[in-house]
Amino acid sequence: MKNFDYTEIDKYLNGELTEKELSLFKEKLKNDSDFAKEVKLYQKIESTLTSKFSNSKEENDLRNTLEDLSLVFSEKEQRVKSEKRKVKQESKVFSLKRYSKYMVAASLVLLATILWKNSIKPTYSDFAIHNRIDLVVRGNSDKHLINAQDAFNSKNYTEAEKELRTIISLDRTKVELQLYLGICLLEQNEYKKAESILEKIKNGKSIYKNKAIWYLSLSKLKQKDYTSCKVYLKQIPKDAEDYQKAKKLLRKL
Amino acid sequence: MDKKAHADQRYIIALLNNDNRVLGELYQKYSGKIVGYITKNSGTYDDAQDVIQETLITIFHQAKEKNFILTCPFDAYFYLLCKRKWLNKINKKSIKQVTILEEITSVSDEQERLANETEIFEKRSSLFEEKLIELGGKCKELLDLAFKIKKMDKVAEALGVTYGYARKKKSECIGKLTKMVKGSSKFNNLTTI
Repeated sequence: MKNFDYTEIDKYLNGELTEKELSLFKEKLKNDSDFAKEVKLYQKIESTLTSKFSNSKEENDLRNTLEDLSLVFSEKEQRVKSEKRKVKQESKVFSLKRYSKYMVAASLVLLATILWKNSIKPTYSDFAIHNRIDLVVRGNSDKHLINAQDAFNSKNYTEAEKELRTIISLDRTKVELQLYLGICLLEQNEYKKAESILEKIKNGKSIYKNKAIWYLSLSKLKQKDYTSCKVYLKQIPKDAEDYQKAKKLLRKL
Repeated sequence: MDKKAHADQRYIIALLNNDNRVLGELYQKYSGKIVGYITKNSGTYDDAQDVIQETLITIFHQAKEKNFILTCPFDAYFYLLCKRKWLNKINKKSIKQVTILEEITSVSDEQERLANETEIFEKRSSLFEEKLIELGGKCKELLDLAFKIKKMDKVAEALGVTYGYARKKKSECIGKLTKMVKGSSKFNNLTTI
């Protein structure tokens, strides 16, 4: 593969070449089709990724709107379905006895449907994607902080729990650490302990409040307590980082 | 090019402006048909919602990057895109014995052309993003910032390097990216660059 002078290409695209350089550049564009293609691709990559990255907030807002809309329409859909079902049931109520044989068959089908429906419920692992944590500030080399961070990021939650507890026993004021401790406990299925920590954060005033609600809902999801899960999900406000995921999960439940 | 926009261009504008009301109308009018298609073809209601959402987000990004003119009715264009996206998905999951129910819908050349354009846009964007992640390291860190905040003097400041260095590195890193993109087998199918 040919090597190109990318600094020059970048200058050209920004209109920073001198007159002399520009005429040479244009000459090369005309005579060297590989070079011309390279310039085009360079420009395309830059414009596509710049547009995508700089519009990520707008994308997020749009996703929230769309998530809301699909929820509205799925609720409508379910209402229509259940009404249809009701009408069917009512019209058949008189002839039930004659159909007892079929009823057994029907209930088996129903049971199968329920099992099938349950099997496609969303799971904890679909949604529990933890961001990497970044505890170590430049210049600070607390051994426990480093260990906790590394253990957490490599999904060794037992170890991370131990390290976090050591740090927290010295300083109880950092809510961020409490949140991570909660996550470690949740990962180890220590629901009671995890939830009590998360509840405290939820009822506090820190910026981790909404994160705590999100993780409380995940805890309920992990325990397959879908009703409580929904209750938490509905409490996550629109401006929360996890709002979209919450909506999505709500829709799937 | 002085192409005329179809009246349904308003849906594109609604996507750009996050216009709740018009988007609600869009769902009301078009989502049923897509849900119908997907649920008949081994998908769930939920799959359909995901496909609809992803398709609309793609159109949003395409319209954001360059002036996007809808030259045909939204209906068939959107339906075609969702359908293809779904078929791609089930092909990937390789669900066996899928009977694809095809109804006869007439698709005009213009709708086909426009849908192809959007599809290529999407594949190209995701190839670029994929390769950026593969690139990793310092280059990715710098490009992430450069693409996000655009102004290179700010990028240099954030990274604690000189403006000249940041500029030079940026162009070299994009250069690396072009090589990786060209080296991908997926690139050959995206010829219209």
